[in-house]
Amino acid sequence: MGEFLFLDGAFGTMAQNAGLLPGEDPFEWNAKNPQGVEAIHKSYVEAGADVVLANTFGANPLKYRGKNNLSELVKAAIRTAKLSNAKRVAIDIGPSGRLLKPAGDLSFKEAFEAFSVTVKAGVEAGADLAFVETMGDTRELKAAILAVKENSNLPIYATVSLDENGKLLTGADVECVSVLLESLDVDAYGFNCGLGPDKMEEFVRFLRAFSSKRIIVKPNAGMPRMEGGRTVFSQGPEEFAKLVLRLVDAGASIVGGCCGTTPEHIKAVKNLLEGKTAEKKNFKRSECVVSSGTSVVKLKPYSALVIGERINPTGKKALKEAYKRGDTAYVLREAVKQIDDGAEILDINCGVPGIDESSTLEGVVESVQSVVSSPLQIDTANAEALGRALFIVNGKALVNSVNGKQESMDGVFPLVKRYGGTVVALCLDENGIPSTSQGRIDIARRILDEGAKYGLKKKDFVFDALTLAVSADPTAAVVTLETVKRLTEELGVNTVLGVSNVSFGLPNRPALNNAMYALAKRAGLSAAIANPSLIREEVSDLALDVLLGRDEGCQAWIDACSGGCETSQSLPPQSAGDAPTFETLMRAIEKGLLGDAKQVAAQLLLIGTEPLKIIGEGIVPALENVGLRFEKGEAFLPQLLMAADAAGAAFGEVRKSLKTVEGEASSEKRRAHPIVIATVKGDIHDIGKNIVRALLENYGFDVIDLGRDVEPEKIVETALSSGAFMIGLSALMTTTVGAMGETICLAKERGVKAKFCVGGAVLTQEYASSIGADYYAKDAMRTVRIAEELGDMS
Amino acid sequence: MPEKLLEEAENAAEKRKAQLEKEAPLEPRGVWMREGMKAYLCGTLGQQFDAWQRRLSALSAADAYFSQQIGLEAIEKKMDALEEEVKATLLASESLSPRRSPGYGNMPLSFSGEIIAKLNATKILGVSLTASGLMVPSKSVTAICEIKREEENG
Repeated sequence: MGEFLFLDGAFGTMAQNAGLLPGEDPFEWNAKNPQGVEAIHKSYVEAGADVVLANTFGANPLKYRGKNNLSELVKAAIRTAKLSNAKRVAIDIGPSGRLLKPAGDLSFKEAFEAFSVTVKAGVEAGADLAFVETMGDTRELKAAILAVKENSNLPIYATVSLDENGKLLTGADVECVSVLLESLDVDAYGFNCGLGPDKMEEFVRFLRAFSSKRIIVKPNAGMPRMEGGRTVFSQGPEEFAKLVLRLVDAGASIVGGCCGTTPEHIKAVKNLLEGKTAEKKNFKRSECVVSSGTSVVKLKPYSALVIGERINPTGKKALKEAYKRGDTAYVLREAVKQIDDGAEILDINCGVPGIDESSTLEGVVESVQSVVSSPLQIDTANAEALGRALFIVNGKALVNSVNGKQESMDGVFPLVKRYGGTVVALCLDENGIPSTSQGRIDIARRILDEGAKYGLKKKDFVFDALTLAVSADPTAAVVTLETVKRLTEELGVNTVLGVSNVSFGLPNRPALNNAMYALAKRAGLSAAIANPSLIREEVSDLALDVLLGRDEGCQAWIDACSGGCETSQSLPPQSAGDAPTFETLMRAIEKGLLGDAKQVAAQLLLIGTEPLKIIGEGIVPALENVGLRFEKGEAFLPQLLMAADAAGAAFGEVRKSLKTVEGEASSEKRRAHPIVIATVKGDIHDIGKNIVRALLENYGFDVIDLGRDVEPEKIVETALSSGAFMIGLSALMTTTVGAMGETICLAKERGVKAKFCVGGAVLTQEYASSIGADYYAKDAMRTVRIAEELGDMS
Repeated sequence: MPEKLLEEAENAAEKRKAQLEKEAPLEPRGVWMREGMKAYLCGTLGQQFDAWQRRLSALSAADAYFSQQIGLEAIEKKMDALEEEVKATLLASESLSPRRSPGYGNMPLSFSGEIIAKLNATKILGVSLTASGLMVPSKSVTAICEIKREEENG
């Protein structure tokens, strides 16, 4: 049992009562009216507050518009707060007022640096505590907390602002916030602002189930309403205090007030809690969890959830190429597809020789988190890359990986302690991979012991029992399965496997992988790193024999597969009516029927139609018909785009049968040189650009999509290195078209030969000419025509 | 033949849009205040709508386009509703002029920032401006309505 800690109440409300004018920044009072600031702090200390939050809520370089030196003003604020004789003075850290990527344009690093300015000044002036509050985005919350951790040793209190549904502005719920804050190991956390104490109660109860820290509540004095041009709050001190008492019963032990509260409110709370003792510790979460900005995934034995392995360039030429060229579209597509196929976590690996792994990984993590809400697994052997990715990733990621080598643990554990994370630990060490389960278990124990030195517990680990090729060693799968079972049962930890290694060197690998997956799940597996579109629980007798080492030399398996039994993928159903023809394919595309187009293409392939003929005589003419109808005004953009999607799906089927030995799609592109497209610096609206990309791709162009808010430098460099013949730039608003001109200017300086085609809502031919663009495209179809014209000339 | 085909293509598009409409995370929110003879309004579909749209546009241009239409329709509807809320508070002798938004007519785009500040919309709704002055979340609208007294109208 412990004591309550009392915080202060509203500053702004009090400052208004003391003469702060509407529209005046209270932060300026640190210079203009320090006596006024001191009086407010004193009134709270007299009312019983142990902690006062210095007048630094608005002290963020991204928000502050005044003429004073921000750091000096922060220092003055801390010094003034100290005059109140409060037991502890906190630097108050509020939101930056800007939205972080991907919702807005502010980068994580910019946010971190801005918060760091405030923290450094606060530390210098002798603050005792950092209080991060009113946050509505987990990513901004993390930036602020890391700014404190990296620039000070101050204890950290953090509170978020919930809406009536218990959500942040980003949609994150209380559990999601809790996973992040536990992972960053703040000292106490909870809620402030947004709600009155009555509405906060259920969320405090909810939080108590997850939090191992003391719970903070700093509610508003009820709901605001306008009265004679002023905002007033509904709850007086007595009513407020009674409701706060219920929050204490629900588990809160650090209490104060936010908007609308006064020293009387704090005093009333303190009086009511007189003689009561606070619950010191809450429930300790023992589950293994990872999170993103908006979702939480639990790893549990025997559940074998899928970690999507497709964003890993090993053996994937197209992905390597996409990384090298900075093309974001490929990665985004893979990310969304894997989630649609059932992956719950996505592995991100950027290990390609000859590229800057750190910055590529950072960029890929950022862009994948802009399209999917699942947690990520950061997969790299490069400590610098790992550190940078863990720094910016939203949520608590899986860290792939550490192993029993001292060097590995010395490199990875400090990063996890700093930035949070759940560690994938490989059961190998300096002597390699033990051939017995006992050897692997021993390593797991050593890793747990070493991790404990950094405060990491069993729940912070997932152990990789290691899958080896059964073709090389017939006992390989048995040892792996036994290790999974023992890790689960004896050590009580979660396990993971990259299942597909098991089938290396053997035919019909998916069937063996599926069998391995099924057996490992029964042995206790928590997660499998696999291709979610292929993996399923399915064991055949023959596969069982291979995995259990009963098929000598895997001969029975190889024989059974020699008849061409390659995967048991289901054949596309024959449609009831017509036989598949180019005409039915064309009709399906022209009608924009994606499912039909895909099916007919598959059927055409099945009856032995040559893939390139399907493209040349089915897909391309169909798209052309729709394109022409669009240009004549008979069809409209929705139909054109539906047709493009359907054509894309048909292409996808055909591509599968054009696979090269490497297992990668061979290029069916019509032209050797690519087109670079981007939404320009400062602009984050990219729907139009995405439509153009889709259409260009469907017309057979090789497109490098650099994404949105792209620096002129990057566009120019990519154009030069890729040998692009055309650059497409998009901007939506008058405020951002300027960046188009800059990009074109820079390109001309650097001798870029590619032609510029520009488009966007506010652009005109006249404007395009004035900034030196070669072409203006009024819509996506026009861009295709321009590309065709240029492509034919080059 | 092409006519029937066109019709079917249109149907397919409409069907897809209707399907997306059901899936869309539509929780429009808004605030407004009256100051003298002006009402200031701000509405947004929030970050979750943008996130949904980004995800759709990774796989399908058509879906990206439809989600854009759905978003624009939804935010307009929310702004209409806010206008109705303002109207409900007017005196019998007062009437509301149709809303105008920064960036249209003679109101500069930069006025959005002032409306956002006035309404405390960054804190209440999570609406803010990017460094280049774009409003985020992307489906957000700021507007002003003039309030007129009957005698002015004659």
